[in-house]
Amino acid sequence: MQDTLRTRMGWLHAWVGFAAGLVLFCVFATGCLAMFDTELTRWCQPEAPPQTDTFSPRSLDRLLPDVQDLIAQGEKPFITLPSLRDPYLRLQHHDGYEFLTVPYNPQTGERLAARVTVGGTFFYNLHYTMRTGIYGETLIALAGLALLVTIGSGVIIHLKGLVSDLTLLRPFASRLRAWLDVHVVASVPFLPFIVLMAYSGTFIRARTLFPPVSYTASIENVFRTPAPSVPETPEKQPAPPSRPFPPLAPILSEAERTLGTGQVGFILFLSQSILVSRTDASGPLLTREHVDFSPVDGHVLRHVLLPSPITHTQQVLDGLHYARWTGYGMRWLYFLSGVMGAIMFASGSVIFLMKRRRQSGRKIMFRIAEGLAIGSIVGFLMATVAFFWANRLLPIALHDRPFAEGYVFLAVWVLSMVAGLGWSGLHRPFQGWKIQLFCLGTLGFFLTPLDLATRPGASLFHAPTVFAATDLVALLVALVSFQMARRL
Amino acid sequence: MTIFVCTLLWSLSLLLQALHEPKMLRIAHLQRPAFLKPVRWTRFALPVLALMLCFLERASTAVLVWAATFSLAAVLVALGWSALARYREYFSMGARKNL
Repeated sequence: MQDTLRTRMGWLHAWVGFAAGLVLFCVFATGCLAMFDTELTRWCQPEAPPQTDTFSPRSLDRLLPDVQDLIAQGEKPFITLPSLRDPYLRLQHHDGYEFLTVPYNPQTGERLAARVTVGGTFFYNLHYTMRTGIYGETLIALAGLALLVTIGSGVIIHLKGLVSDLTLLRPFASRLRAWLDVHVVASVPFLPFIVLMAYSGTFIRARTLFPPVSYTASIENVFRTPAPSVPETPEKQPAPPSRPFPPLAPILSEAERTLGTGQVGFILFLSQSILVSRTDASGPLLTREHVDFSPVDGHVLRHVLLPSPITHTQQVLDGLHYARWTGYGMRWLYFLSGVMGAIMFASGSVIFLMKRRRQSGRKIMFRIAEGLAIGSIVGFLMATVAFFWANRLLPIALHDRPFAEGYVFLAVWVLSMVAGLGWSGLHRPFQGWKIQLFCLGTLGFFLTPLDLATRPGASLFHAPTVFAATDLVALLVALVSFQMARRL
Repeated sequence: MTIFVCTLLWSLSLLLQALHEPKMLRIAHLQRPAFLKPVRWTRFALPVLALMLCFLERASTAVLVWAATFSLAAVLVALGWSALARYREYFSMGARKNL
């Protein structure tokens, strides 16, 4: 009976795992990068030096003309205050596709001449939407459910060796055995993290799977053609010219009296109010508690905190998933766990292909699957490193520069996918894996020289900053890629 | 600091656990060490100690830190053990050649 159950679970684990695994590899990899989205944005704006002056609340008023400009364009700008992760004042807004950010000196409020970039938020958006809006969100939520199924079946398959094989790794054994060990070591010790991320991630995006209206109505809405008589309304309405905002220093001081000293994260400017919100770093609960002020004279309008049990549950799960409360140690642990999650999916896909190569290697479906695996695993990483190359090499004055960075990422990914399918179609998949791994290694290896060459005031022995960390991680990826290409 | 100490405690615990597993010993060409019997309960006590440390630092996030350091320690022990097994394999092959 048990053997039957294990066999059935093996089938479920393999097929659901492979089908969802290629998407989930990208989700885990982008999740890792999104852990350091602020730091990556700093890497993408090398004109802003690692250290700067201390924050002075009076500097906030210097940003107000730029805030007014954005409001006049119909945007909803917000100012992010300096924090341990980012020493700059930042004026941000969402242009419908990306969060665009401009750094300011935190003491004087002067605008820094930094390049326009999509920065680390690119990976944050990619993580939960795949840049395809609600459809991407639904796909990711479904992949999250598939992940829970894969984990459950995987635990049943591996139940006998769950404790005894916990630290068993034989990288120099036969290929299949080595990959199986890598798969188990990357998954079993990280089960608590993976289950937490799968559950909380699916919970956060539950509205895409369980919409507040009936499924029938949702599906009908998709296929319904809009009535021709209804004119299309533009997404953003230019706001009427607004009166000047009151000074922000007294507002900040008043908000800190309610939220606590140093507990303010950002100031959001709306037409009817100025929202001063608690920082996400204040604790494991992502409360988004805020104090609202009048934009006319700056008096307190209300204090908003949602204390019901349901919102409390959501705050806990949001806080655990986004991990914005964590210090650098815990942040790196999240990063490592995400990396191991990605390795789990990559190794699982490789095992799936290895086991079926002898029997089905000549079939067209197998070749497509292998081509997609090459493009999704190595191609995705290559596109990620290419994104950083594009950030440094694209002309600074380029129109729509953030879009161009995204296009480079997409172009490299598509190219890699096509090349992977081509090599696989020609019955030379190993050539495909090797060439792409070598390209990834080369791009990663030369990211450090590129950073040093294109960063103003860079030195080889710079302090352990976001630049050094990013360069070292890219170097590590490069070395692992070279080693894998060598051993294939 | 807590993360470092917890990882160390978990690593010790997992190392002792590995020393109790015949499969792990066989891979690394090791005999079961004599000191294991008196300290066989230590592998269960160390994680409890790590959990207490996590609670002392911040109760609301203790379990998360505890679980994350377990994962990190498992990878460290796995990598260390595989390196040891490789080294021992070379060592035993060299000894066989000398014979």
